[in-house]
Amino acid sequence: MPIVVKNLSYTYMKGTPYEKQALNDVSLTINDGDFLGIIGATGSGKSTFVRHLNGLIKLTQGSIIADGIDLSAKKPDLKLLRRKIGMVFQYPESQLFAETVFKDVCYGPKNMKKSAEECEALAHEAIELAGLDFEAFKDRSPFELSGGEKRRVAIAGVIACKPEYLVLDEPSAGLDPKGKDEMYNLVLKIKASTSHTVVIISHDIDEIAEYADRIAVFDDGRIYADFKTADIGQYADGLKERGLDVPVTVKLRNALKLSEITGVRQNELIESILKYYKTSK
Amino acid sequence: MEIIRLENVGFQYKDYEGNVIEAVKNVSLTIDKGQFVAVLGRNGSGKSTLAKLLNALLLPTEGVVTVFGRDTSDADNLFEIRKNVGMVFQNPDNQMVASIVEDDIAFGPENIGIEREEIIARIEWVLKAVGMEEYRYAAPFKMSGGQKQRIAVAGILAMKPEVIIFDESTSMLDPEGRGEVMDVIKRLLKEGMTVIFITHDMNEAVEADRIIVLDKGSVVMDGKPETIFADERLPLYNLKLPLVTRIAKELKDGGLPINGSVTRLEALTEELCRLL
Ligand SMILES: Nc1ncnc2c1ncn2[C@@H]1O[C@H](COP(=O)(O)OP(=O)(O)OP(=O)(O)O)[C@@H](O)[C@H]1O
Ligand SMILES: Nc1ncnc2c1ncn2[C@@H]1O[C@H](COP(=O)(O)OP(=O)(O)OP(=O)(O)O)[C@@H](O)[C@H]1O
Ligand SMILES: [Mg+2]
Ligand SMILES: [Mg+2]
Repeated sequence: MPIVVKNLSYTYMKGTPYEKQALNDVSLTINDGDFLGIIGATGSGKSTFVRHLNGLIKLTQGSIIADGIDLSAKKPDLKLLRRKIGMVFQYPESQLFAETVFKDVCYGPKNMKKSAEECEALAHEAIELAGLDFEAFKDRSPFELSGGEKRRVAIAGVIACKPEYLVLDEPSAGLDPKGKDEMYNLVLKIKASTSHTVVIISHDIDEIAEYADRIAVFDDGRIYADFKTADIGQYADGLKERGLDVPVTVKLRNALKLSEITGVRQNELIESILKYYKTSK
Repeated sequence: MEIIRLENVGFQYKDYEGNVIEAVKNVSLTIDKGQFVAVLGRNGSGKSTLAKLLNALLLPTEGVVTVFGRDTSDADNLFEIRKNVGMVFQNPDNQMVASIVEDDIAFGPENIGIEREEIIARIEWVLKAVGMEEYRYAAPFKMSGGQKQRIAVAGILAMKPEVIIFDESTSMLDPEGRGEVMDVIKRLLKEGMTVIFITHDMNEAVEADRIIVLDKGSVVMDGKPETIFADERLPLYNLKLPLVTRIAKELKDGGLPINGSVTRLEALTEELCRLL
């Protein structure tokens, strides 16, 4: 089932001199099977939006129905909601809490009343999938790790729960280049098996264009545009006006001005250039 | 002029069970005044640890670190070293000290005895430099991830240290914010500041004068960006080529006769216009 957000507005510290409207009448439906990329300038409301989806921020204006759970109900089942929608926070430190990496990653499955063996198996698998050697890291304190290692533990903690929806707030920040590729490939892999719907926030448009199928652009608390990744070329000017970038592939294509050359994904573009070169020679 | 020197430096962490983790091993290097050095390497390779050794937040368990000729292990040197080597942390929350942006930025300069009027001028300058003028009286804890990073950068800039270490300090900035920080860095380099820039973004690393690659706590490559990115060992250290270079290489492998190694989009576009 989809996540349907209608007319969502949110103001931090309402009624104080510091009040700040972070979301302004946002409507967006996240469909089953979407791989949605969210982009937007610093402070445009991306994190505030996704934190609403699993009830980390209480709904005050507008409506959200997430996989059939109505968040405007008096007492929405937040426990069930958070089991369905797994979220990796922008800063991994805000998500880590246990004494050891193993206990940290086990926490979710344990909460879901899995047996000790099941928890161990899920945690083991998730830690390895996140790119950490299980034996080397299981007994380490999650607070005494490098930045990228913490990020990997946070990701492991969420995928161990096998949520139906996976929401990741700038998950690639802090990962080394190979780790970034591995993270995206991991997401694609679990998207094909357990978490069918994925939402990723990132400032790296090249990454988003490579992996997401759909892109929503936040601008000062509103959604400026929402389109299929393949159509991003049409939004180049609008993105630039908002201080955002367009993918390198699109920049190249636009500079070449040849209608035969197409593709937003890197491989598509490369193939198309090579084909053009060979046929025109 | 040499301002940082490491001689056979090692550092070991001890975890709560007393297990030893060797984070930095036998590193010897020097950094000259005015250099723009990028530090790369896989997660856990020792970059942040090395950075902390440079401003005496950590003291080497082996070897000697000298900054401006002063040994970091000598407690008498601590004040001078901290004053002259500023560091922007990987997570800005570790750096925020006050509940109002303005005070947060003033904290560093106050501690090193800068006069009030000068501090006010610096606050205005740094907030402008990172595009956060509107947030002067806001609360640093109640901000978006990228806004916090901008404030953290501003706080260190306000101390005007001789050396600034950026530890993945732009990882959550939008493209405009990254551009702004890079512009500030370039201006400061012209004024003679030394910049050490830890990053996982190869497009940023290309801008540096020199790249140092760490692996398992040791320096495994050290050279100009052109040399580093031409080195076939790159993938061994979890690194990749900058995107433009990668596209150029794949086109070349596919039979397009592209000249030389290309790191910039403009250069690749030119080559393609020539060939197609
Ligand atoms: N406080 C700590 N206690 C124990 N071990 C630590 C601590 N901080 C880091 N380490 C370990 O030291 C090694 C080097 O860590 P460091 O933070 O320097 O890596 P890094 O290169 O900065 O990595 P990243 O790219 O992930 O930030 C890693 O193996 C890490 O697990
Ligand atoms: N806890 C908070 N209290 C008050 N204002 C906040 C809080 N968190 C965020 N804001 C404000 O709300 C706006 C939206 O913030 P949000 O974190 O949603 O942005 P974002 O798009 O995720 O940005 P970034 O790319 O920097 O992470 C910003 O102007 C920010 O200053
Ligand atoms: Mg955010
Ligand atoms: Mg680090």
